[in-house]
Amino acid sequence: MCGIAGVMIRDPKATGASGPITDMMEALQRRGPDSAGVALYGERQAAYRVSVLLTNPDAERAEAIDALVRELDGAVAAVRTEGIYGFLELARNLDPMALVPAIENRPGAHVVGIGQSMMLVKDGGSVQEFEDRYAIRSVASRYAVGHTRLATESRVDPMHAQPLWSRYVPDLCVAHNGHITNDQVLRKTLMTKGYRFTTDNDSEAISVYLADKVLQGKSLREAMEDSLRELDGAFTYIAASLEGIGVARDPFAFKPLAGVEPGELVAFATEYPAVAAVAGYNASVSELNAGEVRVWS
Amino acid sequence: MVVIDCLGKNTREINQEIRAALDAGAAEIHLTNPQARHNLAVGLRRPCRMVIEGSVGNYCAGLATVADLEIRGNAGWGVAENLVSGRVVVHGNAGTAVGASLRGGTVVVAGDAGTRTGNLMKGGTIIVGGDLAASSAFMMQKGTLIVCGNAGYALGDSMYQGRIFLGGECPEYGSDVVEMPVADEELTEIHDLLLGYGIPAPRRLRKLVSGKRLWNFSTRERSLWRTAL
Amino acid sequence: MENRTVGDNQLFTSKVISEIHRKADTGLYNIRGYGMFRRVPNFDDLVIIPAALTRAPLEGYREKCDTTTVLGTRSQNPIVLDAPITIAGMSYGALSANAKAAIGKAASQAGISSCTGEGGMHPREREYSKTLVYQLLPTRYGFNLEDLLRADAVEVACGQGAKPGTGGLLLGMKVSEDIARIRDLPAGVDQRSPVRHPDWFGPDDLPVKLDELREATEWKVPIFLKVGACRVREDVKLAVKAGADVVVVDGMEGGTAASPEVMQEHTGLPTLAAVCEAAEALRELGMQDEVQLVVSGGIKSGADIVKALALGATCVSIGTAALVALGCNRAEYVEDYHALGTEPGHCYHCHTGMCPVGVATQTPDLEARLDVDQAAERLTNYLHALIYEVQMLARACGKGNVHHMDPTDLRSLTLEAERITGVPLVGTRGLTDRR
Repeated sequence: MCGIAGVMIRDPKATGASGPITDMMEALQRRGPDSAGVALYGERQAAYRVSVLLTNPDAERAEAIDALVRELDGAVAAVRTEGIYGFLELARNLDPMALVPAIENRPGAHVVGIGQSMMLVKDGGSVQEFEDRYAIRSVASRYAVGHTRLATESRVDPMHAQPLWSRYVPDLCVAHNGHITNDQVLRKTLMTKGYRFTTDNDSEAISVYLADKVLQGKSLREAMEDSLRELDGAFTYIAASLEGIGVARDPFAFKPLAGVEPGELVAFATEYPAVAAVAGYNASVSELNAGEVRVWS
Repeated sequence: MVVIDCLGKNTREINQEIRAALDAGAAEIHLTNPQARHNLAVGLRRPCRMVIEGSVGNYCAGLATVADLEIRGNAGWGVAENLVSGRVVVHGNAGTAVGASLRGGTVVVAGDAGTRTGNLMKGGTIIVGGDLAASSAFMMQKGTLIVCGNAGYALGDSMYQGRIFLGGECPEYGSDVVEMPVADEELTEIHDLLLGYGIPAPRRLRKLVSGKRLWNFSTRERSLWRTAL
Repeated sequence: MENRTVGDNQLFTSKVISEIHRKADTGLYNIRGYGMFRRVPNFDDLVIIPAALTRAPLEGYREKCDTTTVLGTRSQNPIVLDAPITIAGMSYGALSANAKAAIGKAASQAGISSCTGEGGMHPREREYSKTLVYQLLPTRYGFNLEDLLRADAVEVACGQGAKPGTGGLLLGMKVSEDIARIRDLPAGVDQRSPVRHPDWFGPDDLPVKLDELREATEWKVPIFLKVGACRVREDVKLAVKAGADVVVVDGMEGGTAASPEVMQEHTGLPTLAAVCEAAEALRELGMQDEVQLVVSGGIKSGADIVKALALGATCVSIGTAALVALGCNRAEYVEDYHALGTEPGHCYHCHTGMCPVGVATQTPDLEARLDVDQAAERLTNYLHALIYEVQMLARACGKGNVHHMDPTDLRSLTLEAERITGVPLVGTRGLTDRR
């Protein structure tokens, strides 16, 4: 359980979503003291960027990244290390998905995001610590998904933090508030289809579910609408992909989600104060209704 | 009139200042710069006119014995939950659980109200000027809910007693909700009430009440109990 | 016809057959009172090992054994009890007003606390109770600020051991005019309570809700949070993270005045397992000295209490045992037990409201059978006897304070108990390292 936030600036050329998403996450801090994470969507690049989370000890991380880049043998055009991450920029025209096994073959290395637009970062601790470590506010983005986590049944570690990248579709990620009660059933079905799971987080069932739908040719909206029928439990969630950003609330209307969408800014968050913090205290904020999906591009 | 500026103060300090002003016999209290904080004006016990000049977070005026509060903005969840008497008026929209377990008094949301509004209401009146989201008035026990706009699904689910007046449409009522003709005196009552808060009355009103078939278990109502239990 | 069987069938026993017949006749699951009937691993599967040569036992008299128990140590006004016992929340509605008054009186005389339960705070209960915990339940029946301000602590109830994951039940025969008035219900309805609170929806919402209660009570009184024992480890951590001062974990043996039998018999964890998981969760958070653990569910003797404390609880809560002490199942008005189809010592018909001894009823002439003073005297006696047992056991272990009991003061009698508690099986050095 946790706080989730999503923001999009209507102007396609805008780059200022990272500040608002951080403001919203700060307003949702109390809901999720265990970890924080964002997926930032900036201008689409020709080359893919990969967020590699390294669970190695701090002192060994830089060396691990160097070794990884050497192993990938020319596939990496640029590399930047920050916090517990190595952010790789791949050489052009490479299929990034084919590289995932090679990267994860390295002890301690986990791919937590791949995208041409999306940059995904998540880590343990508070939003303030997160911002100090990764300087999210200064990253150019047009839309963004944020998450503050209160672990309920699964582990407290950066791997289990959110947003969760879908792993099978670049740029597709999910931030979920609530609990999926048929995640074990969905996992079995999806695993039979060949999907693998990397955490015991129930929310991962949503991200892989959406990936499966998108790979079947469905739009983000269609995939999210299907999910309302097939997911069980309490699942207000925000998903984003190259198509844009969407919000969904389960038919029983369990966990609330408030937002604004007229005007220049689309902003949704678990609690009203987080929306008000970026949309202004006089903006007309309303709640997503039961069983509702909204998508913006 | 006492003015309390919320800037730079935490919720506890603000509520302490409100309490001190009430104890000192203030005739009117204004809160400025509330910045959507949670838990403002919780636990009010003395009658006094109060105005919050801006938006508030969750549980504003929650657990109050008596309130006379105007919120000139939006409200988060649980506004006026468990209120016993008086009135709380929200000029903008409100989130989930408006007036949950309301015991008495009047709660007005001039704009839209969120899901689960008026659940377990035990008395009083909730007025929603705009639309009302799903699953509202679940297990309503007593009191009156007036919705001028449309209502989301499952309105009045499994209500024991009380009255719901609906101006717009509802895609699907809750279990054992039945329509009743609106009596002329009720129409006058509702119109007068809305007029008093400057809310335009809907052109027509439907009255919803409990069918009382869920009051006691019966095998004769198998399909109804099949979903209820 | 009493001993119907299908041959020697071990599955379709006479009990199973009569339950199927009952379901076929009524079309409804069985609802009954009392609590779980079957045996699950419990405190009787442990023994206490007093001092001999390795350590010295204490005498009575001036070699005092302190039983003082403080709940909510991190709040401004913690609750201080003379013994590690509280009376669990039982509603006016499930119980008669006389029973509530007697409980309040006895608890005060024994220096412990009682709890309102679901039906609001009865004026007589407040009057008689020195220390009263006010429950905030999903239904919010009778809940109001003025009573909240009269409470010594507030307990946010998020479940019950007898039927975790489901709401309360009060069948029509107990929804009297007075109960209906207090609960704002039509008299005579089968009251079905919602299982979730109406204005918060999960542990992530809870910190703000608890803050609301703190603001309303000016941050003075401790906040308890009660859960039915299920995912205990996780739930205890979430309760602590949300800001609860005291966590109450109610095991599956916990009593009830009316619950579906299938919930009572088949859901939740035994109290023995719950206390171990809960204590471990507090230790994992490093909060065992700041947040107190209260366990309940089937506690009946001083031995149970001492064993629960040794396994990490600060206090226990008793419900059923207190009602029995008041007079439940006493051999009086035997013909009325017979009218219910039962005998003294075997009655579990709380759900009917026809309690022959006036404890669990709303019928005035039945309620009148429970004399408040006499019932309070019996419960006071029982509580004192429990306290004597607790002191005796702790002293025998050489402890000048009952809260100094620890797992090494125990041994397991069964392999099950050893696996559950980590306490070595008698005569062995133990299979695991967990202490």
